[in-house]
Amino acid sequence: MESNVSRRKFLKYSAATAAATAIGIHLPETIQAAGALVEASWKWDKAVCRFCGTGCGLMVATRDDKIVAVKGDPLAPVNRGLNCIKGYFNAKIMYGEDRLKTPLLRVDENGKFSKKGKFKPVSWKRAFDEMEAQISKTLTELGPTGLGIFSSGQYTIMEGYAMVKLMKAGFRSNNIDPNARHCMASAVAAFMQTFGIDEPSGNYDDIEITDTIVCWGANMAEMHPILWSRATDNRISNPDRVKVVNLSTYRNRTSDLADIEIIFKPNTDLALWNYLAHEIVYNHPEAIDWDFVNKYTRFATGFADIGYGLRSDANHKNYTEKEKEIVGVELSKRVSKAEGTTLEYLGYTEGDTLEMKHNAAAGAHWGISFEEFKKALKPYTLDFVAELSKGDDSEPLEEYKAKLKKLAALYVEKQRRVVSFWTMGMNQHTRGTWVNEQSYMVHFLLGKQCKPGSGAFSLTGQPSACGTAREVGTFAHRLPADMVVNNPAHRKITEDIWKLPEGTLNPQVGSHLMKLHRDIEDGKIKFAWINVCNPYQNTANANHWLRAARELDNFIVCSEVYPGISAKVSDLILPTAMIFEKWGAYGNAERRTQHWKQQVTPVGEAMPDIWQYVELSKRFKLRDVWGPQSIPGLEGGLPDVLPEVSKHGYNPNSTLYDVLFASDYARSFEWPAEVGKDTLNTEAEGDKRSISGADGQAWKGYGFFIQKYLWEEYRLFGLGHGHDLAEFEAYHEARGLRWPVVDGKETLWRFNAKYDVYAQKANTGEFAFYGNKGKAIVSGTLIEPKDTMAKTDMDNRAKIFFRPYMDPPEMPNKEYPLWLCTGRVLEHWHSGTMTMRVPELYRAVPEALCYMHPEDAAKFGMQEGDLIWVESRRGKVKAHIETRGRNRVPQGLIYVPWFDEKVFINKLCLDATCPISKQTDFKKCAVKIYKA
Amino acid sequence: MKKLILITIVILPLFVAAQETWVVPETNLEKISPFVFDDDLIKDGEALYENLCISCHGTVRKNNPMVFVPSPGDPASEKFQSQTDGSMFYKINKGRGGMPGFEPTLEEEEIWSLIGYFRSLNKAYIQPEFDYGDEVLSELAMALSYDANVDKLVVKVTSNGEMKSGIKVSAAVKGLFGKYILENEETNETGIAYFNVDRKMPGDEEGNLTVQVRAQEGYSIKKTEQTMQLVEPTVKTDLIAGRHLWSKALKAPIWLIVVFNLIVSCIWGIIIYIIIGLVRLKKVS
Repeated sequence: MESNVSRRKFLKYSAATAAATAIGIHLPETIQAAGALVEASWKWDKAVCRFCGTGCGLMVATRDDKIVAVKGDPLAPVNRGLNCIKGYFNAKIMYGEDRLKTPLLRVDENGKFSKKGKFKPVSWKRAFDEMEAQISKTLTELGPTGLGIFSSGQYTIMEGYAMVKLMKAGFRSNNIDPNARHCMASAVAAFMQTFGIDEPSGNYDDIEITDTIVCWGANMAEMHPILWSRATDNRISNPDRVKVVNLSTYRNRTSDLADIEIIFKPNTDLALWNYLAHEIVYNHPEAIDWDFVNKYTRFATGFADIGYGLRSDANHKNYTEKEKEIVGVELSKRVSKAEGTTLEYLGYTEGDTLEMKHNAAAGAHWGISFEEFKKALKPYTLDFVAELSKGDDSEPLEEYKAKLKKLAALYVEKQRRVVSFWTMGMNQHTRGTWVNEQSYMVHFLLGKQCKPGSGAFSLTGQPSACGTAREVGTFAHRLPADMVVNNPAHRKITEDIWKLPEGTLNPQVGSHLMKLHRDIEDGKIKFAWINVCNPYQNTANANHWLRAARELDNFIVCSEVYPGISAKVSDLILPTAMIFEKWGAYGNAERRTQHWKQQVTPVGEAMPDIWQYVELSKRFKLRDVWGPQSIPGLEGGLPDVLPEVSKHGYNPNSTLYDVLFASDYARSFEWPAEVGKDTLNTEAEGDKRSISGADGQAWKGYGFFIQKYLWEEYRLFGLGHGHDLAEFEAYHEARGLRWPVVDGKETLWRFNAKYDVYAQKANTGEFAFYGNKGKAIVSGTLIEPKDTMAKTDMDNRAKIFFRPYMDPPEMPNKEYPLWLCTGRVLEHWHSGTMTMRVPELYRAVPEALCYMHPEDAAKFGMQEGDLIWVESRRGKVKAHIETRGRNRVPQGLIYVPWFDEKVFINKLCLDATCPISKQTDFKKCAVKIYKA
Repeated sequence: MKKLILITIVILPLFVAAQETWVVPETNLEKISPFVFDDDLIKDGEALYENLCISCHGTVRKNNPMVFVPSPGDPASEKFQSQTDGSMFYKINKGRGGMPGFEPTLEEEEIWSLIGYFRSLNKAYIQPEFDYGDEVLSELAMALSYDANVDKLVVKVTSNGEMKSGIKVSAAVKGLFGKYILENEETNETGIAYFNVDRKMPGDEEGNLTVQVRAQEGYSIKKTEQTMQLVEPTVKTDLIAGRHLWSKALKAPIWLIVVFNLIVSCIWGIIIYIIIGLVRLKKVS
């Protein structure tokens, strides 16, 4: 056989066998045998996809220390053997031509660091020497708040945990915030405000169980392709019962499957959800599940004059004149015609000046009565909302109204199960927290939440925004397991687990991602480290931050794999191991935590992130960081905890490594270990390259199973608190487990006593929103809280928020007549640093196009394929036009994906955020176009 | 025939004599300038004079106009200065015979700038005050900056210290022999006018260009000139650096030096060979 059949054929047989297994077809014996022959020298192992929040399972084959094949894992419940186009290239992303292989430092002719210098390869020791010097310099000059970490929703759980510990316990700084701030913060804020605890109540099984799938501003077909395959399967198999609705600001591939497509104007999702609530409350009160609402929920509302997350100083010296045309809205704005109606309940009319008085207290909320809730919903009639929200000028108003009515009918229908999905459309929104809360409002009113097939389901974008960023707490305000830094009880729990003297942790909330950039621009942060993200490409109003990185006196370190924009503007680049070059774990959108083992040795001199953080910790002694520290805004600063260290068995000369990462408890996790038999582990035992490490010596490993240690210590935070995770080994047997994992069993539907042990324990009947256990909030009127009223008892209850419609901060006008919406395409991940290096993916989509309506193109004298300038008040880029592509936008709007360095669209976007969640709104700003 | 010639010869001087006095209509004589003859205006006038008028009227004060009949006259001369402003304006505007009428070419303000320049040559002159009626001359101030995010020249204009929309602003880039006009704009509600700048325009090694900006509100004019970094730096390549065919001897391309010397050596070699041959021949004979 071998002599007759070529290698190509072998591979085809092997792939065919895998594919057939996935879809359940039986292949002839000969083909199966041929496939088996090829794979004889391969070692297959299970792994997780590097890309989106779906969290598909992969099988990865290695031979001779290289990954030679990737296929969907047939045993993975998430994807059952399927992968999307990106998923199949999980191996190729590691072997791109310009993979970074050595540390690179900007030096002058004398080899000294200079911001104006050119990048030259240096040793790891030199890199760490420079980092140590710069951190010491910054600590002396600015204290702990002078440091900043751009953390990530793409770190492994252990990496995120290690960095949180290093930054918060070691350097006592809370200036660590992930790119998940740009991704899921609004969802998180809404979870915390509504449920008192983070993450969705449902799971992916809902996709098959439900009767209705409604996508709100989420192009699931391209962004969560495998989940969409499952949705498509359900829809096609049950065409009479199952209905799909796509609400979007432009037609996309998700519309292909949809029974109803609703094109709405940007930002008016706020009005659409209220229309649904209005329909329920005014026209279909019989649909309200009063048993559920009365027993398990309370109504609430908050302030509307909360600004837009811009800089509070509208005359900041770095604002250009053009920008000043917009930034004043942070302080006050003129009430528009639409707001004159929607904010009438607060006493405003069109033309009034809305003074933003509650920017700092944006999240404040209080309990209200149902009558007030109903009163506030009054203006959201079908006529008003249709007029306000219709996004396609060419669509007749009556047709649009009919669609809205149909949508409402689907939600209201008594026995119909409904799942609402959303991702960035609702999260990247200047009122993102509000609109997330509105989804729960509708589902709660109908009693369609926390039940199989029914619920509002916040989809996650990144592979581990849930597992790492949110659960581990790599945020400026968080600690692991949903705890927060400004809660003394939470700090105490954390200090106990981490064996820190009391008072070590910094109680003041640090800088969120947007503020990290602004602080660097203001010179308040002078040392920044970029972990697993691309903040200089992914942040709005990029011109400011690029200039701050290159022109000011600071030191920026970037742990990267390819030379992306962040690497190019940094001062020190550290080559980092990619996903299968290290042990790791991710947590996906349905709370499924999945682990994988190291499959191959890292390329060149790349080293894993955990190693980088831990090696840095060896450079600092307790006496350097645990003395008294001044913190701007914190009276008295941080106390001197050095006198207490002897109680825990350290002394002031112990290093952070000894204390945080190499305690006796840590070392008790031995390597080699059974679960790691015949598996590489660069951190624990070194690898065949014997890289000259941070101390100039050949790297031979820590000698203990550091990844398992980090996992097991992290677990302690969640056990018993509704965040239970299983032991390390369990995840190497199972294809992931959905937390809380109690007594070895996953939790499928949270807060539902039938499925959730914690809800059962609360003993409050069918449901228990134990995130709010024992809590009570102030009550008030629609306008403000009132101490004189009796408090609203929130014990085991969730909140139904009323939130009004408000305009976005920048809308099209005569000079900038078009909406700019940004987003993604199927073939590329995020900033394209990985996927643009895969030839097949690059060829499929080599550049970011500007999707435009053909009549708009004609109006501006342009044609399909023309190169045009797209310009906002903040920047301009060139792009080619596409009028007949995968996205058909309505007139008045253009869409540009952000994966392409050459079309750096974030130069144009406005850095306005939801004031509660601090998540940037990348999807609404005003632009003009002209030929290039 | 003889009579005709005689008559023509007699009458001709009369025509010439008739052309001695250029009569300006009454109404035009009274016209006075709404623009103040300040240093800016006079400088503009001087520049215009040197471009447009000096060829016939000659260098001022040197009394060396072109020899025409009638003579164009030196603007600094008493004859010239004895007219009213309005008379000068009329003559420049309308022209006569050899003198072009500049109405189609020059703006009113430019003609007044010429007159202002002429008057600056006459120490005794006092500019008559223009009756602006209700209109008050405002004090304009300008601040220039560059918005690198969107490649725009930002001109912030205040009128009596306040932001005002509708003020006319024009900007030009100063070139070696003239200026490249960017645009003519009006200020928006915040008193700012934006001008698109093409980054590819050639500037100096740092990318500097000199911009001339002029703001006008009614009869108030403010001009400013500033050198700013607006464009990509021009990397000047030294045309004689390196080896080229036009470089000097030692810097010529190597192949040329080699070939040239080789040929010269060969030719000398041949010459020497022939001489040696001749010498030998001589010896033999």
